[in-house]
Amino acid sequence: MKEATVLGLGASLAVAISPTYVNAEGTKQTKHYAMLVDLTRCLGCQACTASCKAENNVPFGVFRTWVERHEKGTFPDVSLQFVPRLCNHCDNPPCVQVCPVQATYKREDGLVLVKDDRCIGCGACIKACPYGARYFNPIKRVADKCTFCQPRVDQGLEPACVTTCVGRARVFGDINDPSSEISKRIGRKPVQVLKPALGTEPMVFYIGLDVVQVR
Amino acid sequence: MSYILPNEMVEWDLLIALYPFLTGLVAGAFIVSSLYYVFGFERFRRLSSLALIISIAFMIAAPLPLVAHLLQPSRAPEIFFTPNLTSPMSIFGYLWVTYLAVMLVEGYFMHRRYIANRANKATGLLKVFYRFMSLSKDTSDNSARRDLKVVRSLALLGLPLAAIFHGYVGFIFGSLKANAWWSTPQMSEIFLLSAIVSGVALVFLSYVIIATATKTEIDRDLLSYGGKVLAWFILMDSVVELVEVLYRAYLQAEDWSAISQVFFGQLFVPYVGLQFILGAAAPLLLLTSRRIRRSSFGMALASTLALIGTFVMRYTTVIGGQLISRTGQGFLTFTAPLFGQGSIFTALSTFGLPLFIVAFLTTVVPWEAKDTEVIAQ
Repeated sequence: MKEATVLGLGASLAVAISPTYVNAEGTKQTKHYAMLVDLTRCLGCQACTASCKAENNVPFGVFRTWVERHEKGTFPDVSLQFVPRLCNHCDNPPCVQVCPVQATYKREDGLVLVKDDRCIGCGACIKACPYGARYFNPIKRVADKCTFCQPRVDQGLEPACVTTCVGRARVFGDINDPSSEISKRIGRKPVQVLKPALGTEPMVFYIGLDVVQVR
Repeated sequence: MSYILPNEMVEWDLLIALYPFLTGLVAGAFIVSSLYYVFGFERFRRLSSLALIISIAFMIAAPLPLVAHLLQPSRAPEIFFTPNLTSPMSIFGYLWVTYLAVMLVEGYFMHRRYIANRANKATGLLKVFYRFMSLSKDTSDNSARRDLKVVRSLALLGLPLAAIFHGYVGFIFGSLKANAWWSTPQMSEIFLLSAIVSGVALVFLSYVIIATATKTEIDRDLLSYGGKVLAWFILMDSVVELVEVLYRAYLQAEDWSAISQVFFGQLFVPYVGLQFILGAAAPLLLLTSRRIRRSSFGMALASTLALIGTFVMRYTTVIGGQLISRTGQGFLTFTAPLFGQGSIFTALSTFGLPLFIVAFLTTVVPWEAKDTEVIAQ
């Protein structure tokens, strides 16, 4: 019994780490991770910001994710809108294009990552990112950013910001899998991305972004 | 209300502003040297050696601000071993080595006959040194003609290298679509034209200083001719830069409001006052006078102003571009520290090094080309 549990865990871990898997129809499929942020569900509590800091040891003064607060209307007819921001793990990432030493790269499963031991700290990727998602990590002295919590994802877990989101505003998953929650929710409602005109093909989608003046 | 993203900072500091200034001087001075060897501008013959010496000196110093700016300078060689070919920055290492080699070999053949002559005449340790340097004892006219052929070929090969070496710096900035001020296809032309301005200005400023220091007679016709060339390049550069701003102002695209607030607000003094008025209009006005062009002080002043204008252009481009938030609705501020990484002191020291190299090289090889005994021509 014990052995079977271990084997089962091992099998699910292998599925989590490998970018390709065999789906229900028996065909080989590649995972493509993305995030959906439903702004109609975001409370602006910043739990995601705090959990990201704790999970990834993000230094003081810089952020892998943050929640913007946008005011709308004039008193007394006013409202607040919250927009969580993070690396968009673009399918056409300008940061990967400009890195002179291949330190930043896009993994087969869609994650855009930085090799800490190769980054020379030139700042080209930081300047190339239209979303301000990158920063110089003052401790590691390299470029740093959201990794979609890659070590957690590789173990089959969700990113820390997703698990701590009290309103379930953030949904993470494989958009190549039609049965995943993210695919279903993207299919049900219209979604937007940040700065679509730049052609970066972001993999962070929003519901309700069309009513907020986000730049 | 200022809307800035929390990670936004001016990561590319004073050293990164200095870097294109140095590469511009390399390319500009090299083009001056090639004007004689490739295009037959006879009047520049006399300065072809000095221009190449300046070019080499600044080329040696060009990587310093880049490496000093890196957070992991010990990993700088990665650019040779794991270059990412989609990154314009990745070609720096190979380009720098190739171009420097071309310049050094050209410089060597330009002065080979002089070195061989010295090897024949010198005694003791100096003889050994010059013999080692000259590789052959041949000082015949035939050997000089062979040298000239090599110099001409390398000067020709160096021209596209000069254009690429500085043009790619413009491309690095121009291709960053995340930045409202940088992302323009004109960036390479603007950088190249201002590079020629700074190169011509530095060659003539150095000529006046070195000739005065060594009590060498100054060729007034050469000064006047150089002044005209400098004026034309200042004019072309200013027109291209002004047209670029005019287009943006007229198009009124969504970024214009932020751009105009930075460049005609926070940066008004450096951008309008130093870059365009003091660094372009003033030297242009001075150089219209034949008397000023023929005077050492006049040319030195006009050249210095043009150099200040070019450096300020690099500053307003590199720093100014980063002062606009990616949101287009907020602004950052920047003050260069006096000491430490990216400081005024580090930038001045980095700029001082090539000046020392120029001073050294002009004492060991002839900087002024008078006859074929001295330089291949």
